[in-house]
Amino acid sequence: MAQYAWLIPLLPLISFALIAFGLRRSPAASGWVTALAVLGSLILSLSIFAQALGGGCVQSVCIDQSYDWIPLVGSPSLAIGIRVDALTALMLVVVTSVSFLVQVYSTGYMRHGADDDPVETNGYARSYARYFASMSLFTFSMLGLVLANSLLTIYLFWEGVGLCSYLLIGHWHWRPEAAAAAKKAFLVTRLGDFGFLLGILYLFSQAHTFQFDQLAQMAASGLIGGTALTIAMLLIFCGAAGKSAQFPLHVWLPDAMEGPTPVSALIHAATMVAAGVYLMARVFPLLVHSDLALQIVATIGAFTAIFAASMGLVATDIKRVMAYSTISQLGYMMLGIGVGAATAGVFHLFNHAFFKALLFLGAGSVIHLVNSNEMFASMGGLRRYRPVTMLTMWIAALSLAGIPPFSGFWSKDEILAAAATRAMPLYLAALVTVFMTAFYMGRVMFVTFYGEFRGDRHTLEHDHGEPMSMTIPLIILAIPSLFTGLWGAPFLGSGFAAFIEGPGAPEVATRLDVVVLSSALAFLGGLLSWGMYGRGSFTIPERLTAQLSWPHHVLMDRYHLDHLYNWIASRVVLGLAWLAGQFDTLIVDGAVNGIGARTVQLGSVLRRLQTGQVQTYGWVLFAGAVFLALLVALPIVTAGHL
Amino acid sequence: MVIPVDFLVAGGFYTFALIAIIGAIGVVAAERVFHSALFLVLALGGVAGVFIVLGADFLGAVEILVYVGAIMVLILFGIMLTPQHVQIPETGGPARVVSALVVSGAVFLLSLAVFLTSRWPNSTPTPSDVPSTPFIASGLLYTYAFPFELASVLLLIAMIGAIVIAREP
Amino acid sequence: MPPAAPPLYPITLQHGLILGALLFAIGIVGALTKRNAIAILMSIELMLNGVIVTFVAFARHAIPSDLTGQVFGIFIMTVAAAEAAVGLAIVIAVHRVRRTVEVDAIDTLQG
Repeated sequence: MAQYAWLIPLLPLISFALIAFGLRRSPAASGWVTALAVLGSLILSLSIFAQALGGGCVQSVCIDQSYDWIPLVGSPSLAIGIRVDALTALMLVVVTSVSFLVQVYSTGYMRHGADDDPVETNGYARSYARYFASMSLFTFSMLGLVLANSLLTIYLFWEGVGLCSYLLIGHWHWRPEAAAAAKKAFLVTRLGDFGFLLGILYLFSQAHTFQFDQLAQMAASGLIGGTALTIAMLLIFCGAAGKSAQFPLHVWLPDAMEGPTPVSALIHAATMVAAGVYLMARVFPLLVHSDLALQIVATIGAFTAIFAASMGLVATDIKRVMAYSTISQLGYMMLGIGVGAATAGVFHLFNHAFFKALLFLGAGSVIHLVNSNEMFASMGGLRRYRPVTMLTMWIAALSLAGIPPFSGFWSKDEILAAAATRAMPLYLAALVTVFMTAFYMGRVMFVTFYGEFRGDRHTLEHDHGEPMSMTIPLIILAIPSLFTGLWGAPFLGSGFAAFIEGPGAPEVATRLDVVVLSSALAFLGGLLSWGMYGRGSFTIPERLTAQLSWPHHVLMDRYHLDHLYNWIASRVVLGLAWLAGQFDTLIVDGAVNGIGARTVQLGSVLRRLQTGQVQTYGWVLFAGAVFLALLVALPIVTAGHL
Repeated sequence: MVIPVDFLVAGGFYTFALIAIIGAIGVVAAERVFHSALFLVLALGGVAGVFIVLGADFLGAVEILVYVGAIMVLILFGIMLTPQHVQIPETGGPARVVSALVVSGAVFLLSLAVFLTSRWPNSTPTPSDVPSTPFIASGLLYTYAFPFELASVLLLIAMIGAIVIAREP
Repeated sequence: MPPAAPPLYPITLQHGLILGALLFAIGIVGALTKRNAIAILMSIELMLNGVIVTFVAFARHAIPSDLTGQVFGIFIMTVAAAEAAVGLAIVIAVHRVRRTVEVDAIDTLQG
């Protein structure tokens, strides 16, 4: 089955081409073509997954094929290729299944995605087909990314998903905030990608290959290592940090919530932002040989986790809470990889993809209902209007908070256990994060669904329920949010680790103290949020805000980091740019324009030669002939040959 | 009294050459284009005579037929079809004349220098009384059959081109 | 058969060549000085005739009975005829547009 893996990204690409070149005028078809293409990819992915699960792959690598893209002389060719192993099979399933559900959800959501998106006479928003074209292109790029067998290939698709992310954040491009957010996302991730590219090139200069398997072998045999490997790994981690919104490159992700909610669910929660974690898992065989790189990854991961969670405590925009939560969870995954538990990190990625996509789609469901993102101003008491949404979101929220036996608990616990063994300070930070996570998720749920409706009543009067295409994906996503954790549960044999690492995987460390402590903290956080927000009136949080106005302000202003970056951009970068611009205008342009002006002057002199008189030309012709003849004849005459 | 052939040849050559040169100078010096055309007839006639004297009797006949018979008629038609403004002098200003004379004199002197200083391989002339037509015929139809066909294609193209260019648009 | 006596008044190769060069040079003067396009065409015919004279002279003094030079003369006449036809057609077309055949007035390509 794995030999057909190349078909998986091809199907969404075909759907993109169909929409871009043919179906732009028929929005209904564009939605279903996208969903069908992704469904095809999903079926293929599931069959590959089944093959991998059944041990059908030799030594857990099903296929690793390269195609010489640019042959080079005296150096290995630049090859692009695909690789299917357990990790790829898992990611394929994650990407295609979430993507399929999100596409189905989008066919309902995007029909009237935004108030300012004009609805055409056929009943679809004007940007509907463009949305699905971008989504198809994104799914293609993301699938290519997970199938890549070399750093070069992964980089190509890495930029592809970045582009699609830009397009989709700025989907409602007439909104200044959306356009700015798209630009911000692109620029910030580009900053990381620059390091990534440098890292790839540096690694190539050391190892002369891009292929993951060859690189892993070289690292294992000690051919590459030491400082060089550390530098390469840190540069590659720059790219991963940009894409996965790790501190200090996390600032783009909260703003990216300006995009349509299904986009946030697919790209900025489940798949693309996880690409950084996936990348670190891919290069993990190299990463383990550099202790310093591991420590930095772990530290940044842990710091990002607690840092983002703290901002999530006070955000009032439901999607922004989710965004901070995503950053925080990605920090967990990085922490897992950094403390050597890459499998745990990937396991958390796997679980997180489902429950976070579900949370976003649920948020989209209520946003669709009240036409606003603000939890305090426009929501409240929505359990009467969207009971299914509330129920499924509860499952996801409990899973995210790490309440047993929901899926998030198992993977988070593995990471915490590894951290507790390897790095005690990071473990403590992660524990605090667990508490915060439970608190802000409880806050979202209580504020949104309980108490009294606080928004404009008119918005609810138009409610006709939501289309089945939006409800069913929520229900389907709730199933993995409930059960996927059990796959990795130690008392059921830790099937996940065995799947990813193949037979003979080291036993997953279980620490009962960690389990008890983290679960207790999660329960406490949830209880606290119920105490503060669960009873319909917000007097306690208001009083707290008034008393702790300074910390509250710092958190609301995201630690002033955006201002700092703006200041750096406007003063330092623009100052340098001004200098460069002056150099360009005065010296480079001066030289170029000077040459041009001299040429024009010379031309205005020389043009007098062109009289237009045919007889002048004739005269020059004959004079030239005589001149040439003399030129030829004179040496012969003087040499006396005649 | 029998006049020697070489005397006839020499006399004929000089006579016809003089006619040709007078005609040529007349073409250039004439004030009116119609007079130029008449001098051209003279010059071409002289050239035809020189051809005959030099043993190219067929070429001489062709010269008269083609040039005097066809091309001259064409040129005269051209003159008739383009009304002439007699008040404008036919020749350009003195500066132009002098510069033209300088260049043409240079061309001539250069040629002269080459002609007189080169050693030519064979100076024994082919007898002038040998008929040349059969040799030209075999040359045209055997050795140079392909260029000959090309020449006919060229003429056809020129004819079509002339019609297309000169036609009322 | 005794060898023929050398001619008293030899017309050598050079005679023909000089006549050809003279005709050519006179043609150049006409082509460079005349203002009437038709007169220029006639001067060019003169130059072509100078070339044919040169060929005929070479033919006379080359290997006997190999009259390649004369064959070339015929080709040159062909080209001259084509040139005259097309040249005059152009003159007439220009005259129709510009109402003149003066080459001084036709200087659209002036820089």
